Amino acid sequence: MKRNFGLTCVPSDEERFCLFFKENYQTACLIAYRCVKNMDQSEDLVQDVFMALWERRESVQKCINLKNYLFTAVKNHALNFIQREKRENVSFSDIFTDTPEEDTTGFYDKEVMAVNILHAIDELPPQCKKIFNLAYQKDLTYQEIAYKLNISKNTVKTQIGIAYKSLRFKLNDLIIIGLYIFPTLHPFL
Amino acid sequence: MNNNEQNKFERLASLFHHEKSDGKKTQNAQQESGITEDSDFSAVKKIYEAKDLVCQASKVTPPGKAWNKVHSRIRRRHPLRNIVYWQYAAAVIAIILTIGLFVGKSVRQYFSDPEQFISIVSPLGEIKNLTLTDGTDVWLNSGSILKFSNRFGKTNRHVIVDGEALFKVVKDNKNPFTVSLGNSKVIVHGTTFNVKGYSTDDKCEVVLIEGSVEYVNSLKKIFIKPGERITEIKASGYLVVDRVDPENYTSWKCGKVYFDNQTLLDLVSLLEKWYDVDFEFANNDVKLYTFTGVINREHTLDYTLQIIEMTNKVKFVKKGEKMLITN
Repeated sequence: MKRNFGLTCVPSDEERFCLFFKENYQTACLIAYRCVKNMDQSEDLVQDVFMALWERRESVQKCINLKNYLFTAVKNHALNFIQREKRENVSFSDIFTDTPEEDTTGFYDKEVMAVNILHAIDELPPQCKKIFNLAYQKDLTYQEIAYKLNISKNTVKTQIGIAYKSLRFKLNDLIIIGLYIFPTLHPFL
Repeated sequence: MNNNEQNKFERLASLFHHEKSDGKKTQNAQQESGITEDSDFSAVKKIYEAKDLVCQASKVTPPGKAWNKVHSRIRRRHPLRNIVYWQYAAAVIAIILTIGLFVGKSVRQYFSDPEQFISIVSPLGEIKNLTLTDGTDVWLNSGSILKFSNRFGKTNRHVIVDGEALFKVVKDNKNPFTVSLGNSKVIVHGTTFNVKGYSTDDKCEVVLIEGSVEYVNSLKKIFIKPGERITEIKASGYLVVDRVDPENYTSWKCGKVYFDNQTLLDLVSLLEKWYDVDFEFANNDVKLYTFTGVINREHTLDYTLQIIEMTNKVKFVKKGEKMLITN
């Protein structure tokens, strides 16, 4: 059948482009953040790239890997931004490259993984998630967490152990194999 | 066993979070606790080392919200830009007209240039979505064509449809939006409606979701209200109005179509357009078998055919380039 629902060409209808956007937005922002170091600015740049991709969807023919194509464009756009320090007069034609995307395997692993970890954390049971985040994102010690939440230090230790175990097995493919796999986590809406 | 595993992760976590058993943070805990570096160790290590990046990720605007921003930017863009990218022919026409201007043709001559029609084609297996210069949104189903004059604009809001399209029309009472469907016309008064009139079908229909439309053919003019469907039998010009659930008639734009006791003939003509495949009926009886259910475009053709075969009424057999349907 001619129809292709995969990721080798830009979805030409809004609904599917929207899904593609939602799946890759956070990762793209992290990639831009690599050099821009300002999240608001990174988000603006990423939105620019998605807009440009949408407008060029007809002329972007079959590329091997649409995610990579997108991420490379985001990286280039962010680099251009840093070099030029302003967004006017940016030409979008040179950020979309036709070079084979196999070269970029592994380039974006860190960002992809980070977003997947974030989603996996979201799926933890509420109390576990709360405790884990205090240690993981806020850098509190177990003692500080125990004090803050009025629970025993042992509970903190147990819950954090549970969290790491859960994350480790959820992200098994990404962590162990270390390849740039396209995870099919639930599409958040 | 499970308890041991549990303790293992607790110890690994404690290690990376610099927790000694006496509660103080320490640097050389690894050597002290004698933990072996296996795959679980490297897994936890990788997760721990990603925490700064994960922290950054949590600061990104939720994608749903970010999409709304991008979506409204796409909508606000000069609608003509959407069209220019759609069809090479349209781009060529636009370029020719522009070059004509620059080459110094007088304005009078420009306006007396022959009217040209722009065709937007949604090939088999695709759905296209575009915005016209008056701000009207159009979704074109598979195997459909939308035509309009190069003079389409404020005063000329006339389009021609061969196929199926869903419109969200911008209200302008002084310049009503009109759609030609075969030999009939739909006059629109600021609304959302679906038209279906494939030139290969023997009937055409318009379903109104919101607003008000007037259906005009050589014999009659009828107004329909939201929730109503008007069907015209092309051969006789006969018009029938009935009440339907508009959801069922517009869900194609999301890739789902509801069938309520409809014939295999109708079902198959839809599949042919979605998947770009030819079907052949083993005999005429099979054409009239009826089906009720939902078909989802996101599934492959094989999957969809399997679902239909489960009703035990028909079987699909590959016959060369076509699909043969038998009972």
